[in-house]
Amino acid sequence: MEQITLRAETGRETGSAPSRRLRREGGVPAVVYGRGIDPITIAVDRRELYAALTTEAGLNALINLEVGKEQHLAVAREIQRHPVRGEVTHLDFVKISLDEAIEAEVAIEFIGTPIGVREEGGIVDTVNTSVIVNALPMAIPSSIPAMIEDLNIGDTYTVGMLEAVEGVEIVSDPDMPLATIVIPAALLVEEPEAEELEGELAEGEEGEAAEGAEEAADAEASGEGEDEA
Amino acid sequence: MLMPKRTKWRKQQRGHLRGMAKGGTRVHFGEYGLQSQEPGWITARQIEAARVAMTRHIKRGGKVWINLFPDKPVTQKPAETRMGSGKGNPEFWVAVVKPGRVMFELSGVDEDLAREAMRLAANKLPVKCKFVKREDV
Repeated sequence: MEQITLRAETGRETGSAPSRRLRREGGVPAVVYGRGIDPITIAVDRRELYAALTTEAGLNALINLEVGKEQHLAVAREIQRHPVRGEVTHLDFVKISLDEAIEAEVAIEFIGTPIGVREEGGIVDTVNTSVIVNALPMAIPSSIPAMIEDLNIGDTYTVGMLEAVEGVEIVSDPDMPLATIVIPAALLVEEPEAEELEGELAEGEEGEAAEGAEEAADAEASGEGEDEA
Repeated sequence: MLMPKRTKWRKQQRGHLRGMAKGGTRVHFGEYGLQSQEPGWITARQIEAARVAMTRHIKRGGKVWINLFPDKPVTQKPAETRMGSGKGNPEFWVAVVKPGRVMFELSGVDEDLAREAMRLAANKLPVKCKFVKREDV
């Protein structure tokens, strides 16, 4: 895995207002810590940061932070994002050593079309899309392949079924499900839906008895039942 | 339609729609999502209409998640009633939505189909929406 160099400026003002000002000027407030160094508040350029975090290594990219005259090898952690725009608003850089294993979250790449999908019209329900691994920084893979070709309807692919990757220890629970082949809800159809609606109606009536004031809701529910049927 | 089974109090104050969503801002369960760009109240009826629009479009295949629950009762006074005499009766339920909230999620279908299904669902909602995808790790 290659190392990406990222320039960082020290001595930024802390606090919400200066941080907001920094973001408006195209910077991202961050902090670097770990391996015996005192936490240093830094600012990085947003474009450079995005370039660093969108390589093949993804968010586990090894970043060579140039902080003044010093260089720190670090990985990005605790990435905070804007709720609507998705921009990075703050992140932590954790200093690492190349000869010490670290934990990282690695994406699962599902490979192949399962038998249950090809022949029986099922769908792949991905329950989890990543696993936690423990490995040397240079050995962290960008993704781990999961061969799901042989799965039938009702089968589950778990973490324990992943093929071993050299130098990588999977920390996640081996019984943790990654994908299940299920029959789409549309194939199970009408009967369960009708039952649900009856349930809703009954609930509405109970509520009415208890509170004596929900005629409108009941009428809506019964109208909905007719529509669906 | 979605509504609470029982509540501690029958009526609620309206409240304010300030700020952005505090959680549920990323696609968590499925592969694609429909994210609110505005604050608003989504009624149980609108949630149901959006769900039906989405599931009808994807026909067979795919799985839908609804990350909203209408837990806020809205009261209305009957028509042609004079003001006063207390608060009106609870008439329907709404979910309070703030910008950034991923309201619906979808998986098991290709992107074009998901995009169109989400567009149809968004047409049933009173807020501006955006199609979003799960971010890779």
